Formats: sequence, structure tokens, C-alpha cells
Amino acid sequence: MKSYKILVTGPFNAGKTTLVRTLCKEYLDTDKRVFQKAVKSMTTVALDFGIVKIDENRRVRLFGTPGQERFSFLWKTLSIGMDGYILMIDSGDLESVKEAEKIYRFFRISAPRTPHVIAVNKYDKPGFKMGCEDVRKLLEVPPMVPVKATMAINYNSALSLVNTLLKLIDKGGLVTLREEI
Amino acid sequence: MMSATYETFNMLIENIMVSCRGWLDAIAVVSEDGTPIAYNANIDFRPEFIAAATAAIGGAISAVIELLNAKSYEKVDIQLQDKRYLIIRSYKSHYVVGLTKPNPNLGFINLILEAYLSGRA
Repeated sequence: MKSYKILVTGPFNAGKTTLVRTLCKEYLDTDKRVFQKAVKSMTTVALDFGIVKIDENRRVRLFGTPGQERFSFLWKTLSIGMDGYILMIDSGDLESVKEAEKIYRFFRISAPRTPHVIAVNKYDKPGFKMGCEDVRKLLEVPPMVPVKATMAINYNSALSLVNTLLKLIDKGGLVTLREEI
Repeated sequence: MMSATYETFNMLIENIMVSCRGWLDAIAVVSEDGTPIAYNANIDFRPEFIAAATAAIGGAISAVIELLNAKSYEKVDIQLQDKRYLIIRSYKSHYVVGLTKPNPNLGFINLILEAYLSGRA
């Protein structure tokens, strides 16, 4: 069986842990209570981990990074050997995009040819939302990189996101895709 | 077909397990990217999860050491509440991670690990 390592990264409260838990029956939990007042009470301090069986021949190991910048030393560690990554953003939070910019810059420099997708998450929530094209412009996402509206709490939406990335990986990454365009 | 690496690591941990005379309940070799390479366990053991978490621990320890301007570490022994030890060693760009029985002969286990991981055994 072919095994893929996919990193799920993004700012605090973007939905990384939710994505892993939605897709994986069993998952590793390193959530701890948030010390300072925040929009949520728990946060990931080491990693999220889970395995998704895509079909009979393929499975994905999902490694979720902690979202808070003080844990940025783990981005490099957790990204070793990754086949691709998902950058998650909270579509209703402008701060989330600003934080995502730093993370995206880090991975664009440290893993420039690694296939990736941008997930504009929480698309189902009412109120202010950024569109995929807005996020593409703000983050200066290249045209060959998919930017997808996502609902991490929904299994089909989460799986579709992973499948989009797997297609990129199986095609041979961004270089091949750029040539196609 | 199993790779030479898998066979080598599998033999290594089997030898360590036997040489430790029952003090180890589980031992595994995992890669730095969190992939399980080989394991041997007498307990319920989920190699994929252990490998992912061990890689994160290894990375976090290296980060702390770097922040303290200290040299790289040789071994990690974590005493658990039931007096078992979680042991982690760096080995050829991999991690060897093990769990002992309660109140183990840690000196003896260290000697065995040092002998096998330095290639003296």
C-alpha cells in the first residue's frame, strides 16, 4: 500500500485539528488548555496525527502542526519527508490570513517544489468571509496552486481537499503542473 | 519484498529486546520524519502513532538544546508515574524508542543499548 505524508499547517484556530479528526477514526491528541483568553479553550502543542485510508492502495498519514507561532520550531521537524502540505485559513478572520502569510512564506522557502493546496476553511459559517480569490491575492498564491473553499467539519469536504492534493502529488508536483499550464 | 534497512533494524531491535532479558515491553526504530521502520512489543502498540509522536519529541528536544546553546543529546529517559521509563536514543538519523517494565534495571538497559547502538555488540 502506498503511504503519503501530508502536513496540515496554518494559523491558530484555522481548523487543522478538526480536519484531522474529521478524516481519521483514530487520532493522536496533544491538545492543552489555552492559558490566555482566546477564541477557543484548547490548542495543539505538539502535533495532530491520524491515518486516512483513501482506497485499497493508498493511505495518508496526516501530520498537523501547532498553529501558534511560538511552536514554529516544530514546522521544520514535522515537515521532514512530507509529500505535500495543506495550508488552512479561517475564511472569517483577517488576522488568520496575516498569520498564514508568515507560515506560507516559511514553506515556500523551505519546500519550494512541494505540492500544496490552500484551504479557505469555515466556509459554512455565516457572517464576513473572504473568497478564495481574495485569499489567493493576499497570499500571492501561484495560479497552479489550488485554493479551495473547505468545511473541515464535513467529511466529504475534508476528503475532497486531501484528494486534490493527492492528485497534485501523483502528477509529480508543481513543476509538472506549471508545464501543463 | 522487505528492504535491507527494514531487515537490519528489525534484527537490531530483536537483539536488544532479547538482550534486555524482559526489562523492555516495547521497542521501535522510527525515522526522523515520523515513519515506523521496525518494532517489537509485548503490549498493545500502535507503531504509526508512536513514530509520529517520537519524531515530534525528538524535534522539540533538539529545539530546546539549540536554544540553550548546548550540544546534541545522547539519551532521553522519561520516568513515568508507574515507574516505567520511556527511553529515546538517536541512532543513524533515526530514533530508537522503548518502554521499560516498572522499576527496571536502567543501568543494565543502558549498557545493552549503548553496546548495540554503538555497534560493539
